[in-house]
This record gives sequence, structure tokens and C-alpha cells, in this order.
Amino acid sequence: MDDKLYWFWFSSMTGMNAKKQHQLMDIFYHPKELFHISPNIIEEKLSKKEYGKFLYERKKDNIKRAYEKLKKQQISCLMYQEAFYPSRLKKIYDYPYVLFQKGQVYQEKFLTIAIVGSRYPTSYGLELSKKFSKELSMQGVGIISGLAKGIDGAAHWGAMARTGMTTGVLGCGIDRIYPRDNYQLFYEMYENQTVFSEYPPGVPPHPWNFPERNRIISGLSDGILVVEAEKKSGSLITADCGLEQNKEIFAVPGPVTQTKHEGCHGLIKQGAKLTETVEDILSEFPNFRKTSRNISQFDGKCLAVPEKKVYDVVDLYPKHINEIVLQAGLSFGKTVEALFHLESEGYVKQTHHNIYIKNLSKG
Amino acid sequence: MYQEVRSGIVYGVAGQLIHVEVEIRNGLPYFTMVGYLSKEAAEAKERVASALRSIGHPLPSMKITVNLSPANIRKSGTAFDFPIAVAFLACLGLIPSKELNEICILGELGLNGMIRGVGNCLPIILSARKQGIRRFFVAEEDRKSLDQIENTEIVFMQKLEDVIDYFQGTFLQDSQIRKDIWTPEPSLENFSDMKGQLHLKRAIEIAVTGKHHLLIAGSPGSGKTMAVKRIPSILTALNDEERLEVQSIYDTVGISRDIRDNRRPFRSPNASISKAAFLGGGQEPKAGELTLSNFGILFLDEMMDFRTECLEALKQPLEEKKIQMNRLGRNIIFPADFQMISAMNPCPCGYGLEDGKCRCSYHEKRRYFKKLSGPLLDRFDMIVSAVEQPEKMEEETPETSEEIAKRVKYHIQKEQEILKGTGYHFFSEIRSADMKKLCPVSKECMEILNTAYDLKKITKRGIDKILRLSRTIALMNGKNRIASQHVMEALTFRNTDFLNEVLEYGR
Repeated sequence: MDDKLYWFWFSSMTGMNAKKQHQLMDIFYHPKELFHISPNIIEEKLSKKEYGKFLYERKKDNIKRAYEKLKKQQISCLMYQEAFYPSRLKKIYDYPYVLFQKGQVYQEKFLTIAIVGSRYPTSYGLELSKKFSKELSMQGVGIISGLAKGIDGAAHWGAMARTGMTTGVLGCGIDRIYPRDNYQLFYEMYENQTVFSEYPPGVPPHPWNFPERNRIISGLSDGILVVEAEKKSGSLITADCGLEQNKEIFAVPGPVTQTKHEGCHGLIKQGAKLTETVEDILSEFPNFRKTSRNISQFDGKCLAVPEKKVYDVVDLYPKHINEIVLQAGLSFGKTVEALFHLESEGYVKQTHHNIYIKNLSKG
Repeated sequence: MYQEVRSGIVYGVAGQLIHVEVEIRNGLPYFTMVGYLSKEAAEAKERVASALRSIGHPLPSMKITVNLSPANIRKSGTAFDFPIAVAFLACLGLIPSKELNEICILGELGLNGMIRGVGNCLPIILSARKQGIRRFFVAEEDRKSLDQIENTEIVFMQKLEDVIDYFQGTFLQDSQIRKDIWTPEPSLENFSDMKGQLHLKRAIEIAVTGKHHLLIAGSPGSGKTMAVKRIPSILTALNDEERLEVQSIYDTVGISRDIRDNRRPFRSPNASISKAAFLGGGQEPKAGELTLSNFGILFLDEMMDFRTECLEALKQPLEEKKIQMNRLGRNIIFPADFQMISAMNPCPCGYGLEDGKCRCSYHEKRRYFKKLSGPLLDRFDMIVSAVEQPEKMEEETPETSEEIAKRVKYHIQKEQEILKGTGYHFFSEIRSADMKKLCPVSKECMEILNTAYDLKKITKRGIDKILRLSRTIALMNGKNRIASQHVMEALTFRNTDFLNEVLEYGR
């Protein structure tokens, strides 16, 4: 049997997590030995369940068949010794021995940043994560995220909007599309980008998979940008993994009155870098090519008076037309007129029927 | 001896004239009634016999046949006692028979000759009037449910002898309908209780002025229902003709309504309503909620909770203002000239419009909106969104309903002056063919529409809708032509892409 098949069997068919695999490899050095070992030696090392599975899956035909199936599903299997295996990942202590990959070949970038955050974000978070990932990928930075709803999805879309490089890491089997809502994103990622998972096909999205997945997200990146994390958020786990792995942590602040940003503020208090612009991130990596692009917000100086008034009122937090009318202090008709002009020129946009936010990509 | 008089029954929401024929001839004493009668109608035999005996003119011992024609319609109700008795009196020569042909008689008899009311005279009288009948004999009890009707003479009678007195000229007629003046109960709901929500209030005023169908999508607690509940307080009054038609519909269904009540109907059926109750129907066709809201407003609160079949059934009535039905081989037409106002949540959890609060997945939303089909959504001229407002922002003092009602009345009057002679009553009714004539558009406005089209805010089909709406807004702003700001305001109520906005956001 091929060397790769042994590794495939060991890391994906025995159902052990990465930690356990590393413990065993400290003893046995190669799964080939484990494969041929007599059962009573290994019995004490494994729990009853693991042991049962171990015996059951130790059949050459099964292994070969499972491996052939991968090929059919266009899933490639990367061993840690192989060249295509992400080099950054090998530096973390509990790296997965085998990484499954779908989509295109992973390109190592000089700088990669992970963008993570809430699954149920506000428009503020969505717009910012899109903006950050778009601008970072324009600079040639790779974007890593988790293919989840909310911030993760927005980060991927943002990077793809400028055909940048982005990589998603799953917390379930590589063949699964989870969450279902993101199916469009998945297909586009398969088409142009890379999707990784340490879990073989068929593994359901168990809740305990996600913290493990987060260590890979942080492992693949040089810095982690947290946008909109609540007090107890999975994104904070990613940040913790990042700290253990010696990565830079960035956090985008929000209003102190909103609980949606408590996690980010907590990170900043603990020393994460407060991030307002892409420059804040890039300056932490002096080796990365210096950029002179100044990313300033559009100040609307060239707008006419009513438009200016209305534009000042519109925010990244969506506002209903009622609120805009009252805050701008203009008549209903005037406000509507101004909003129409602003929208047709792309300064504002509607997230919903008559609910407006600023359009960041203009200016 | 043969005599014929007129009477009537209610079929669907309209009256149907019935010929009551009586024949008396020599033969073995025998009394038979024919003509597809219900149980209570067939029992008229005994009541008529007793009533006639009680006034001293018993039935002769001869062979008697009573026929109710047309014989293929099932006759129910007790309105035939009185006409049958009158026909007998004519046969006996107590009443001149010639005059009876032009009189429609409605009433139930007591055994002692008293005439009792039947409760639904109005629809019969209205349709008999259309067929040229001008004089009616009705029970005194029914006086409450009737009103002065143009070109008709309604004679109220208490007992059977009154008929004989009437033709002898000794009957003291009291044709005065009523003396007391009706005052509506003061409504508790007033727009002055509603702070904020300017856009929603404005939308409601526009909708009422131009009779545009309105859909309100909003978060729980944003005041959707509160606003709609206050709509009756700003509606214009029914005119006499409309009032009688509304009343006659209510009479046929058996819902009590004061005939002097000139407020427009406002129906808000519960979402669990069945299709038959919503649309009308049944073996003996009865009007449904759509018909009950004729000339008024049909409010569907939580529209997404209604059955799909109910929502789909709305399409024809909204287009044609009537419901056509086929029951037991007969076509029935129910009027359904109503304005639809609906309220719904933007997603199953309700918070879809509020930032970061919605936890619905794309598929949940898709399932939720399955009921809201394209054609139905297309029937709404206006869509308005409502979110809860932060408390700090307060208008100085909200307008009261009375102020708004005055304005609405003035504008509708003007609207009808403009549309005089075109056959339309409201701007929302203008068909595309007449758009050029009635809603001329300047170049400037066309440019705005093109920009909106480029932004994918409207479709080519939606342009007419926006223009009709703009025309109403222009009228409300006191302008005779559509200007650019009217179009822009109308665009805030557009209905295109509403679903996509709700569904696609945040992917």
C-alpha cells in the first residue's frame, strides 16, 4: 500500500482528532507501523469507541475504495510532507497531517490576513468587512475566513469582487455545503478559490469541530482581523488560537453602546490593534511592500446643500427614511429628492426598501 | 279566477323578483303550492289560511293552486305569505286586481293577520326598482331597515286589513321614514395618538386619496396595525347610492348595520378564514369578506398567515372589481370594489428590516414568501416599510384625523372633477391606454424614470404604476402636472424588487 494511503487512513478514517493523532505519532512515527501492529498493544492507548473504529477500518480494500472516491469528487488530499501543503500551517504544533482541498490549488501569498466575525452582523460590520477584504486583496493580500454566514461570507465576497485570493476553511466534511444559505459562495469558491477542511467527506458540522477549524484559520494567516464579535463569540476563539500561534490580532471598534462589539472591545483592551483602515493592518508588517494609498472617507464636499445635509445623516448603520427626514431637518419631498440623487450617483444605497446606508466603495 | 302579484327573494347579494300566481276554480276543496319551495315557504299555506280567516274572509271551499315563478329557483324565506294573501283578496274581489301588477309585496303573516318583517327587503327593493317597479308593500317592522329611496313609494302596513283600507283610500299612510337623526359613535382611534412614522402616514394618505392598494412591511411593534386601525377615521363618507348598496349587501348576509350609517366598510378578517368565507360562496351563495368590503377597505393583517388559496383568489376581484361564480348552473356576480391594505412582517422572525437582529436563514425566508406570488405583489401599487423608531425623535404634534380627513375629502373631490367624463373615479384606475392623455409626463420626469430603471429600481411595467402614483401625489401637492419631485416620492413606494431586497441581503 502507498505511503499516502496510510496517512489518509490514519488521519481521516480512524476518527481521531488532531491532538490524539499527534500523541500517537510521537510514539509510532509512521501510520504504517500502526497499521500492522497487533491490536492488544494499541488497545490501551485508545478509548473503546476509537478502538472499535480502528479495528473496523483497518482493511486495505476499504481504504483504497475511500481514496478512489475522493478522486471522483474532485477532492485532493494534501499530506503535510507535500509541497502544496500550506507552509504556514506546518508551524502550528497541532497541524493536521492531512488536509482536504476542493477548488483551485492553494497559492501562498507573502501576507495573508484572516477576517472573522459575527454570523448575524449589522450592516456596519458587513460593509466594513467587505471593504477591508476588498482593499486588502487589492494590495495582494490573501484573505482567509470560515465560509460562514455574516462577516465570513462578506469577507470572501469582498475579496472575490476584486479577484483577489481568498481561502475558506470548513468545520465539516469537505464535500458539504454548510451553511446552506451560502451555496452560491461555495460554488464560486470552488470555481476560482480554495476551500480546505481537515475533515474527510461526510463529517457533519458538529459544534466541536468549529473551534478546531478556527486554529487552522489562524494558522493559515499572519494576522487576524476581528469585525463585530459579541462577548461570547467563536471569533474570539480564533483570536485566542492566533495569540497562541503568535499572530497579530486586529479588531475593528464599534459604538460602546452596542453589545454587538463587546468582543472586539475586549480584544482591544487586551492589546489587539485598533483598526480603522487597511493601513493600520499593513503597518504591522513592515516587510510587506509599503503602500502610499491613502484610504480616506469621502467627505462629500462637492455635493449641493440638501444632499450634503442628507449625506451627513446617513450612516453605516441603516436608517429608515423617517429617521433621515427628521434628522436632516428637511421636508419630506426635499429629503426624498436628495436621497434619489445620492443613490443614483452611488453615494448611498438601500439595504432594504427605504432603508439607507452609506456606500463605502464610493469615495 | 286568477291573480298574479309580485314578491321577491334574495339570491347572492341581489334581489330576484318572483311572480306569485293564485288560481281558484271549481272542484273538490283542495289547496296546493308549487314552485320549488323550501319548508318554510311551503308552510305559508297554513299561515295564509288562518290570517284570512281572522280578518273575516276565509278561503273559499274550492280547488286552489298557488305557483311561485320562475319555478326553477329554490324559494326560501317567509316573504311570500303576504303576497299570497293579497292575491287571494284580489281573487275574492276585495281589491282591484289591475293595480296589483305594479306592486311588489314582501312580508310574513301571523295567524291573527299581523304582518311581520322579513329583514332583507332592501336588496329586493333595489333590484325591483331596476325592473321598473315603483310601489312596495312592506311590514311596519321593516321600517328600521329601510330608507327613503328615490322614485319609489314604500307603504308600511301593520295588519292584513290595511291592504283593503289602502285600496279603499281609508288607510292613513305614514311614509315618513324616520325622524331621528343618526350620529355615529365617536371613534376612539385618532391619528393624533401616533407619533413619528411620517412616511407611513403619508403613504396611507396617498393610498386613500388615490385608492392605491397598499402593502405595509414592518417589524413587530412598528405601528403597522395601529396606523391601519386609524384609517376609518380619515375616509370620506359613502354617498346615498353607495350606502344603500352596502346596506343591501349586509342585509343579505345578515350582519346588522344601521341603514343611516354612511361610514365606509372596514373589514379585517382573521387570517384563518376559509376560502368560502373570504370570497363568498356556499350552496346558497352568500357574500364573503371581499364583497362585504365593497366601497370600503379590506385590511389583511399578517397577510402571510392567510391561506394561499385565499390570497390567490384575490387576483380577479382586484382586477375586475367583482367576483364571478358559478353555483348550481347559475352565474352569480358579487360586487367587490374594495381597496386592499395589507400588513406583513418582512421575514418569519419579524426583524428582517432591523440591522443584525434577523436570524432567519435564506431558505426560511424563501418558504415564507412562497405565498406572495409575483402577480399578487404586482397588484399592490405601493409598498412601504416601517421600522420601530427611536423614542427621542418626536414630531411637535401629530396631525389629528379630522385635519387629514378634511384634506383627503378635498383632494378626492378635486380628483373626481379632473376625471369627470372619463369613466374613472380614482387615478389608480387609469388604464395604460389612457395614461398619455391623463398623466402627461415631462422630459425631466422621464429622465428620472430612466435613471431608476438603470438602477434596477423599477421595471418597464412598473413605470405606469409609478406615474399613477405620482399623479396622486401631484394632486395632493396642489399641482396639475407631474413634476420630478412627485416621481421621486412615488419611487419610495415602488414595489419592484421588494422580495429580492429582503431575500438577498447579507449573503
